Amino acid sequence: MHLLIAVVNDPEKIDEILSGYLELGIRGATILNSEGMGRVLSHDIPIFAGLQTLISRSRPQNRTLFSVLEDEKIEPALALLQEVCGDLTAPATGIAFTLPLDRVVGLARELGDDQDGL
Amino acid sequence: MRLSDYLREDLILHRLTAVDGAEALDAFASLFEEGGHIPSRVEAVQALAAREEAHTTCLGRGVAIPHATLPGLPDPLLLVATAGAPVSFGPPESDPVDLFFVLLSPPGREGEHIKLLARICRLAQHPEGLDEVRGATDGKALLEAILRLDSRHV
Repeated sequence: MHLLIAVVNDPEKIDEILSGYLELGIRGATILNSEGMGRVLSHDIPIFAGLQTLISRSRPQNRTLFSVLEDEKIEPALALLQEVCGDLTAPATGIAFTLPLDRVVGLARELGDDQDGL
Repeated sequence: MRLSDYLREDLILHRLTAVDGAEALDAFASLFEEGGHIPSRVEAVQALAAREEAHTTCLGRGVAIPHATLPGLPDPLLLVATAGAPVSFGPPESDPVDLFFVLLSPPGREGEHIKLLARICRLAQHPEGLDEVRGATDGKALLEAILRLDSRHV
């Protein structure tokens, strides 16, 4: 199991990403409103205020998604993120990374496992 | 998840003519019935209408996904329809609908059903692909346009 953390710079992409997560059978994700370093520097620290280099890469808010995934879902999830957000190596798109997990308790079950009904 | 695994030539409806949602649901159920896919047209209409009444399935931008669980099906069924003229569908404040993805699944396949809904929702966020689907000149072209849209996305 891995923790996938994705910081998505464009909050409008979240709907499409979450739909894609559902398609992949990823039932759970935690989404936080977040701010990038450039935004904080350029708005809150006077010496950096107004610097275009920082402003051009920042948005008022981004979103950070946390998801615990089975190993086989990591590559499809990264492919999805890059399809929706664009090439993540391009500036101002986002970042995604994974961390191996030793233990997980409380993970939501796979879609359909629990026969919830619609 | 690919729509291509569920699309069928005989469940494509090009240029539906319906004056309202009730007529549209009846047309969808009739097509399912004509193909021998469902045990009862009436039950299908009732199931789709009940879901619509509980929560609209309109996505906006002229797209709706009427869907329901229906006993007696071996597998989920997907019907795609374009309307000759936009149909008043869902609550009054909803945009008229000219592109329908109709999904019926048997009980016990909820996970697959939700994944299909998610796939359709995701594809529906690409207006250029939807325009291509809407512009199809016949059923064959409509099916091909959906398959192209489906294949362009992971």
